[in-house]
Amino acid sequence: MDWELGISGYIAPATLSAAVRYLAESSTQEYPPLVWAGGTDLMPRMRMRWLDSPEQGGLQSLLSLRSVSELSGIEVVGDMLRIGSLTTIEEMRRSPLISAHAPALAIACDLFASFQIRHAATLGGNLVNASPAADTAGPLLVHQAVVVCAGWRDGSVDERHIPLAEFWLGPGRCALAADELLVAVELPIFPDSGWVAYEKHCRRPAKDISIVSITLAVEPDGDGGLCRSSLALGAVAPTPLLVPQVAELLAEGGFGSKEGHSRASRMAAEAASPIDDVRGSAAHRRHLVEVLTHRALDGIAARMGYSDFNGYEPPQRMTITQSGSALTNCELPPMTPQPSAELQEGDIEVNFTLNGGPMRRNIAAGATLVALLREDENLTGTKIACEEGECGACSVLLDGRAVQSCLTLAVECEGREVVTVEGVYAPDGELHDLMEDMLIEGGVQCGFCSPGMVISGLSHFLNGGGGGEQELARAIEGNLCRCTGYLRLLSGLERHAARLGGGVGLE
Amino acid sequence: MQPVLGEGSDLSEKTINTSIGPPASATENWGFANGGNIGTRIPKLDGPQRISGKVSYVQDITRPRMLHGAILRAGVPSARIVSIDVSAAKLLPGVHAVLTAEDIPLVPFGHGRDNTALKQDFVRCERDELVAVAAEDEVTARKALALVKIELEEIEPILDPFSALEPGARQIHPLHDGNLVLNFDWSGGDISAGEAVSSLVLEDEYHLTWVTHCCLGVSGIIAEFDARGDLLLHSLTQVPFLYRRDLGHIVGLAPECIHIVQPTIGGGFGSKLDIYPYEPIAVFLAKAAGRPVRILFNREEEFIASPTRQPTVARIRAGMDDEGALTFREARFLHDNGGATSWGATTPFVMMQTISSLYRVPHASFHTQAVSTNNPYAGSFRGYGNLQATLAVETNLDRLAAMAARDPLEVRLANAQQAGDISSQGMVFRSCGFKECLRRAGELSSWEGKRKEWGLANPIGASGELRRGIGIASLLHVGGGAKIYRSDGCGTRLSIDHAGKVHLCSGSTEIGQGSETVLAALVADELGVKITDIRVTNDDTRQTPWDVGVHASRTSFIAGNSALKAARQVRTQLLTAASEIVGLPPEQLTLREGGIWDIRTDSAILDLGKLVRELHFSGQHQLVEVQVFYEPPSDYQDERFHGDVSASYAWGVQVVEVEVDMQTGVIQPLRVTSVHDVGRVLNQLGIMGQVEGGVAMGLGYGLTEEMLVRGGILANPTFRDYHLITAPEMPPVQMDFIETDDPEGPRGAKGIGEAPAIPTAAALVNAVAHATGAWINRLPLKPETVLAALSAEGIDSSTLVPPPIRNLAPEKEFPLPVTPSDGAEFISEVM
Repeated sequence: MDWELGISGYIAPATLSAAVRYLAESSTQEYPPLVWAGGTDLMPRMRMRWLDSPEQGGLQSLLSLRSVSELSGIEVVGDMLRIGSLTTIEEMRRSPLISAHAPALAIACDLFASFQIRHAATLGGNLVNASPAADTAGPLLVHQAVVVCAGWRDGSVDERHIPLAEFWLGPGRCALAADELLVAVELPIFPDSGWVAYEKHCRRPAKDISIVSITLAVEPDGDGGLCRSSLALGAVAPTPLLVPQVAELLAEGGFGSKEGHSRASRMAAEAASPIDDVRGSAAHRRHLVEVLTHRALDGIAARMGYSDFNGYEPPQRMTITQSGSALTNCELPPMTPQPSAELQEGDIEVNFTLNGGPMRRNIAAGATLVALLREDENLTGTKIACEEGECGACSVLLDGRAVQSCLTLAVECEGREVVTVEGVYAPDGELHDLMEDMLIEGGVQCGFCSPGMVISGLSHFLNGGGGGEQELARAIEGNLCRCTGYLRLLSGLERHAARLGGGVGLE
Repeated sequence: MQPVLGEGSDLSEKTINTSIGPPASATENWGFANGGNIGTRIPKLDGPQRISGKVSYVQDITRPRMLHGAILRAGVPSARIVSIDVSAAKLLPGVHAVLTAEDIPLVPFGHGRDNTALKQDFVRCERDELVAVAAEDEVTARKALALVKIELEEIEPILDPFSALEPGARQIHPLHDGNLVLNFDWSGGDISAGEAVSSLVLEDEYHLTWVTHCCLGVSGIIAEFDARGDLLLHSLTQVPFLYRRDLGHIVGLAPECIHIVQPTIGGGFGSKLDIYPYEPIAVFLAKAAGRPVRILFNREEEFIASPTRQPTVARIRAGMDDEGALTFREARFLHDNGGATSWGATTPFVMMQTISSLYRVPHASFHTQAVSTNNPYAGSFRGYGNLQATLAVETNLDRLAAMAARDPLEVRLANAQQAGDISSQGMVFRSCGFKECLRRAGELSSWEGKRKEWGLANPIGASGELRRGIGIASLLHVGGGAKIYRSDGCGTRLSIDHAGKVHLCSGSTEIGQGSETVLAALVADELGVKITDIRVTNDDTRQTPWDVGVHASRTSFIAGNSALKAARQVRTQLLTAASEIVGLPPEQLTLREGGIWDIRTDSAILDLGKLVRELHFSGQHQLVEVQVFYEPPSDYQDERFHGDVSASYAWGVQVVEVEVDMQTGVIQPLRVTSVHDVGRVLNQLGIMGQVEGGVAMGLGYGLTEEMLVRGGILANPTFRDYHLITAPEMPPVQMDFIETDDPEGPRGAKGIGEAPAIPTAAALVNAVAHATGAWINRLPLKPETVLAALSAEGIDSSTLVPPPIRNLAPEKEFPLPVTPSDGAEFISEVM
């Protein structure tokens, strides 16, 4: 359906100064502009708002950040790591710099939602969304991140730096002013000798919103003591939570002893002020904070050679590491730079490549890509099954990366290359090899999820994915299937990996 | 009777593959001509269409001048409808019809005849349909609904069946006797006689909540009338012929005036067995607007307004004698029937088969009451009550085994049914591979070793915080249809055209399960043609012969037998005709590779197309076409629920292995072993998909899925918060099949559709009990639930006596059985 998302105009400035200037000029309006980055949080929220009351809702213009080049990039500046706010989670996940210098962040990005979401969601969006459960929050807190915000003041771009610990004000609220943009996050380079522990505690490996998350960073002083430690908790307070009292306790000799760890864990549980919700009760969350803090401390102490913890290895999904993830041999191919756009009202002309041919249409700024594909282009192979980015049935390739077209605004595809399942076939026009491999292994039953599965599989192999069992399962983590139990699908993907000769492995 | 798969296989494999390796390509396998399809890996005939997005689901179909319908629901569980003002909605440009209960005939429908398309006077559950609109587009339809003014006077909802049965409780529906909607009473033998010879007696209670189908393709329908007043429906029904009759009754049309075309169906699992209010609503809207109307749910609506699995409180009491033999079993189930009655209320039919007949139990009884509440209402869902009954029987049995210090697998072997047994409900087990399934599952899972090496007393890993456990559960389900209507049959029309191509027209619908492929394979083997030369029609009531519907795991068996019967008649017709033409006796001829072959010279002598053309054009002027109806040799149950209701019965055993984090309560399933008596494997790929898909659904039931109904309102109507199993969570599944070659089955096969989902949750609970010492009596086993159970008193690994079951629900007085039973009435009604 063509959501009328209450969008009155659309602008995609080319520069940061143009963007903040537009914000400054329009932020005093009754309905200030909606700043659009990945859209993965905003889109479901706007849809729900519309469904709840389709009549209500003021008109907002949409400020797209798609063309603002100053917001991209990951670089080391002096002893700081600077990550542009428009960097996607998947780009961070694969970044050697982040893995080396902010290992907790690298792990969190690895366990962030699904490929489709990671390909679209941005660092800035994750922080500004201000969820207490934001996956990147805890790691950035223990890495002592500072956010760089920019506004238009006195005729020029004015930046201010806010320590991340002071950035969030409550659920959905942050210190970013209405006329400001989040430009980048800066964090000190984490010492090579440091250890981090991270667990996103939820039902599935990555796809869920966490019930509790915990990040612990420990920097040894080289003499058996600590120079610094930091513990951050997610989903147990109105904002992501640093627990400085635990760091103090650890600094005062609490680290490395069972008794100290027990005290620190209890202290962490007391610091939490969780609520009951559909994902878990407050009591359960508090209990988890205690258990997981203990495990993180014990696990790092074991790695650092404390004899009390000889051989201890935390169970389940806790990661303890010095060097982030091992995904860094495989950076994503760059996406096409997108042109800027002047402020336009009414329908907006959009041009992109669709299944190899040019596509040009005038559409509402609030129109989703899936609506354009299905309703205007009659490409009904792309399916709608949840409209909130949870099922993967609407997956398409956007510049070779799987994204969910229900979460993607059609105007945001300007200048890019979109491939739907109708654009996936073998050179002779026959069934694509991947489809054939999935069919030979019995990977199709009702078929509703199948086009999305094909797109996820293709995205995996196109972007350097290999044939490991776990890796393939995670490649289709963002795709729900109710018929097959996935194993026939995975056999199909394994068969395809073998046909491709292995590919570049991510594990 | 040999297992066909898995000999000498590497158990670390995700699945045990077959001795016949995968074909080099899909099309190569499809090319088999000489018969020989059955039993191999046959890729789905309609697979290329589906995987490339070329099939049309109801979402993808538009009709000329089609309008979009939308439904306004109550959003509260219980209220009196004071007023509904639709005047503003009617005035909105683009709106073509606005309907309330006042505008339509309120013909009651549903199993309890207590539902109507739109609701008048009272709201009885959250989903209740109050207003429907049809508009030019979906946006306008939603906007129109937002303009409707509804005044509701909320009434304190009744939210659990215990409260609903209390004396003086408000009666929710005027039709029923108080809040008791249905009760089933079955008794076979004498419970007190069984008790008298028992050395152990154990009573347990289980609390099983709502889960739902979550078909990826959401519900939808397109209704339109032609100039004669005939109704064309694009409908997702699994039972087109019964649907036509029942829907006709609701909307005031003769069944023959309703033409049903089934678009490709995006998952069924039982959800499309009944008629739900949106379907007649679409018809009324189309009538009112004079244009085609499509209603399409969104996901939230699908969660709120499509059927659920029947929630139940199950109390079971059973005994065992000194020899480890079961002495009696007594079960009482209390069903939350919600605000209206759909097929969920009839699940006791299937539940009682498991209570009475999964093992040899000399004395058994089963009493169920379905009680009105203001909660969601249940429909049919893969397994049809058997997941619930199996959980109760199989965990209670494990606990009895523990009390008796007997191995759970040994106890099952000692009490298993065998071929030739006739159960106390009169079910005749003509073929029965139950014991073989048990033994094979034990071997494949290394049961004996793991029972000893794992368990609460044996921590796993360096942290000491993990335990492993292994648990087992069995299943009995109908495998040859289930005769609950006057006919449990299926028609087939089979023809060969002048080009020698085969047209198979079956009454039975493809809902993704692979029936099209299996039916084509059965026919291809019989006629010696390529499976790709067969075109299957199974989606249009103007063409397809009658079938009772896709349910009860019956399609391969019933529609398969029907197709086979047709193919054999065509074969005879072809050979007889060819014999006259070529002047050889028919017994010397056979069908191979799309032609007539001379057996003695082993050579082709006549092309099939040519033969048919001869019949058409010269002399005989005949078509090669037959139509047949296959009716299985099964019986109704009588009013005492006695009768051989299925032509065959399916058996199976699953073993689940888990690792439990004792501090967080997180359960990691490590592996599932699934062994089934399927009579005969027809399509290896298809059956693997059914087993793995069933296991995933069973694991979801056991571990992750839960509709959080709070105060009558669904709190998690999204995939974000209702957790289907995803690919990384899926454990390896190893499987094997016991081929008992059922005497009545098509090529010896039995049904398998529902079976693999049935015992998974029960085996999971038993595995967790082995790992932790705690039997948990409510699903799903989410970490919080597990931790609550672990922190309860009484877990002691040093004794074999099981602790009390972890009853995490408030204690309630269980209602006494009510007699007489409604079962007889039900049976006469569906006839």
